[in-house]
Amino acid sequence: MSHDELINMISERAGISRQTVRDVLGAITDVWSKEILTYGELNLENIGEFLTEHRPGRKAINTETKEIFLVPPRDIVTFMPSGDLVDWSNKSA
Amino acid sequence: MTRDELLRKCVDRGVADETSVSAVSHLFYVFLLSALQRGQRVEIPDFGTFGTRLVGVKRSKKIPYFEPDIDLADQVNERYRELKYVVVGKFEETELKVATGYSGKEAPHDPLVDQLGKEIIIDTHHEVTSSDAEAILGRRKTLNQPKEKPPMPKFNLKEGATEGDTGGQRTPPPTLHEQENGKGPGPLVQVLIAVLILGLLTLALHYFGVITLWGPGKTEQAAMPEPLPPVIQEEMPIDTAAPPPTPTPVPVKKPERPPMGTGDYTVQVSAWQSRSKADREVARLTDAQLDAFVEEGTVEGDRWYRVRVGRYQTQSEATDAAARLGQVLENGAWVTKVGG
Repeated sequence: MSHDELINMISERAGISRQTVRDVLGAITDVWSKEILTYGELNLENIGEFLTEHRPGRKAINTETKEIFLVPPRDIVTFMPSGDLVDWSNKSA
Repeated sequence: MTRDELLRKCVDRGVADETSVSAVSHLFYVFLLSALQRGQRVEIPDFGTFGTRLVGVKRSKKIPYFEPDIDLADQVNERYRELKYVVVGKFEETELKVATGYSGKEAPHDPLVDQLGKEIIIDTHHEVTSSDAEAILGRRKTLNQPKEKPPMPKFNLKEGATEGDTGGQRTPPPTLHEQENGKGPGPLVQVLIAVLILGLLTLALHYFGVITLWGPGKTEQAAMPEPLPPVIQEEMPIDTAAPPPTPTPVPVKKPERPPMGTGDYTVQVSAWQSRSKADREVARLTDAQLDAFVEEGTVEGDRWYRVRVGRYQTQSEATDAAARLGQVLENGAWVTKVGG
């Protein structure tokens, strides 16, 4: 389901303009992103928990060029789904 | 973050009124769940993508996952933006050779070569002959041989032992198994065997009546009269009302035996070299109402005690009595003269 399809469905169901729906969805995701960047974690009720984990730098080899290079450290965003989301996903449609 | 907190923050941004924000957030949650239930992906720009993947052995369970968007990943790694991939060298096979000592082309490192002073040069193009193999194996044997052990001190516990002796090593005593396997029985086993043979021989002599070890001998048992039947006493009724009067002891008068005759003939039952045994035999015969007595006699220097029964005037009377006794006694009885 693409973003536009999601906006159309919500707009049709709620009777709200597509632009309003787009703005609201943008605000929601922006709040989520800010929460993750600020606190490093986001716990959404009935959906799951977003966490940022640190990956230290490492030494790697490019097998084609035989080059040895250093991979810089980075943080990744992980997601732990809640039990309700898992149960709902496994229910028959 | 609860749903109310999310709604409040969205309303604070001024994008829409609270009703619209609430409806959109609710429908967004509903469509997200329904899409995940159908196994579809939900793309959210600038945030990420939600989806499900099948896990388990049977691939029957769906687990939701989230892939962060590139923009979100870049924002999370803002502090590492200046760090780039840095090439620090180039991987070469020489490093592996230095690290392991084997590059795959040359012969592997053999510590034997170092020990032999690199005399052996392994040529992969040279076919190894049997002489080469023997030389290599011979040298390997010499290298594998342990070093010479320090000489052990010699102990000599024997008095007057020479240097050529075994150094006082004690030889363990031969076991019974070793004795049975060619060395013959030891003195202890010989003594045990002798004692066992003597015991068996003694028991055999006792069994055949040659000697008497314990109890009445065979002749004694034969001479014993048959046991009398036990006397069964009648049960007296117990009167519990009054104590029974104490009976006055009445002296029991033993039956008087007829006086022994004065004839010259008698019947001999048995003869013993032990006076006590003869007296015991006489006592038994006397209890059987027989006029038994003991007479001493000497035969070839040995003293014998003869057990005899009754005295008879004539030999015929004695013979009749011997016949009657012979039916009772196993060894029989014979007629003889008194004092003979």
